[in-house]
Amino acid sequence: MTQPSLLHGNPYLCGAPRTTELPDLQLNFANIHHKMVALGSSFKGASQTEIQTCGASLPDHGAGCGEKASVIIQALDVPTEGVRHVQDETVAYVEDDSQGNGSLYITDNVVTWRNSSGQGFSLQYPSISLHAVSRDLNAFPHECLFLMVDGKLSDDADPRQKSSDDEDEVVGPFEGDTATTEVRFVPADKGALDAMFNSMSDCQALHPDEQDTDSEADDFEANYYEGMEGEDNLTPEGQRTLEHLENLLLNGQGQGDGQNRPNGNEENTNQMDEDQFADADEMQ
Amino acid sequence: MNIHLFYSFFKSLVGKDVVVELKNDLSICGTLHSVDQFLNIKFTDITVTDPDKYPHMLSVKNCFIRGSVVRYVQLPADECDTQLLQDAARKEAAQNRQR
Repeated sequence: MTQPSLLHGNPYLCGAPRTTELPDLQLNFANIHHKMVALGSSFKGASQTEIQTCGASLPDHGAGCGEKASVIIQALDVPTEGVRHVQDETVAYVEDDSQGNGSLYITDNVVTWRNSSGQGFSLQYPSISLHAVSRDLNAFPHECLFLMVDGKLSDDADPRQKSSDDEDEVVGPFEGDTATTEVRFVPADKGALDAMFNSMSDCQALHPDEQDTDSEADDFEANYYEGMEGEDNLTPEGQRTLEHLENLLLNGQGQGDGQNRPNGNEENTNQMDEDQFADADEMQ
Repeated sequence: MNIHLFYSFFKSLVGKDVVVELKNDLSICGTLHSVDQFLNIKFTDITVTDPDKYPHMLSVKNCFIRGSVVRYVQLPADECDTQLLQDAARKEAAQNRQR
């Protein structure tokens, strides 16, 4: 038998070309099953039947087998901890594929969407590169909460994951490192979009990257830096004031004299211009 | 890297248009609405500057960008008082040495 070629460029999915007869495909997928089980928890519960089903449909399949998706559909419980926002009657789209109607749970630890059958997916905040409210109907036909999800496979998949008995919704192979997945949540209540966005923003702030943590931030600075700082209309004057304030604060540890020095220089050791304060008519 | 300086600096840029390049090569232009201590960035009225790199992106409102995925922030040159930045950076470095 010839060496199986990469399927869709994916190193974890080897298969014969589409023109191969079905028995060969089944044999190849048997090998893949073993590889995928070896990969770990993410494929726990994926039965041989599921993979053969996916493989059997492969000759006819276009991009619909979740070629690019890195979102895993599985059986999930309703989240109970740290729930910030629940939005029922929310349709989830992974890339452009609708997952049907369900409920969105925005919690402190994770974003979970699940339908009434208990099938759904969870997203970890570090993998959510960006989220936004999209109201541009030219770009997508529904107002929605848009998420850009980092496509990297996470080794620590949802630890609460149970084995999936359903044969549908096996989303498919994992993409390479730089891929991103677009996820959209379309609530029936479009007015809830801002609240959904804000809840997600709040929870994102709970999950900074470890390496970005500034271990030097102590009490004074922690109070100062807490929360989102932004003024909608920061005037140029306000800007300058902010800059000077910052300068003062940066200098302020043990040196603060409360005096706002306009030029930001703590000490001007340069020689003073004797004539600086002289009256104009003395300057001849 | 000391984040204090950048946090302060970005705060002073609120209301200005900047371009953020993400680690996945996507570039986003928007009006800086706010920033937090982790340099998470909130934009209003964003557009994608290079649609070819990411054709599915769309113009949105209220975009929140996770700080850890930002590769670069491109700023208008006339908004940057480089002298002020240099002074502040020096002072901050001096402070760190004292700790």
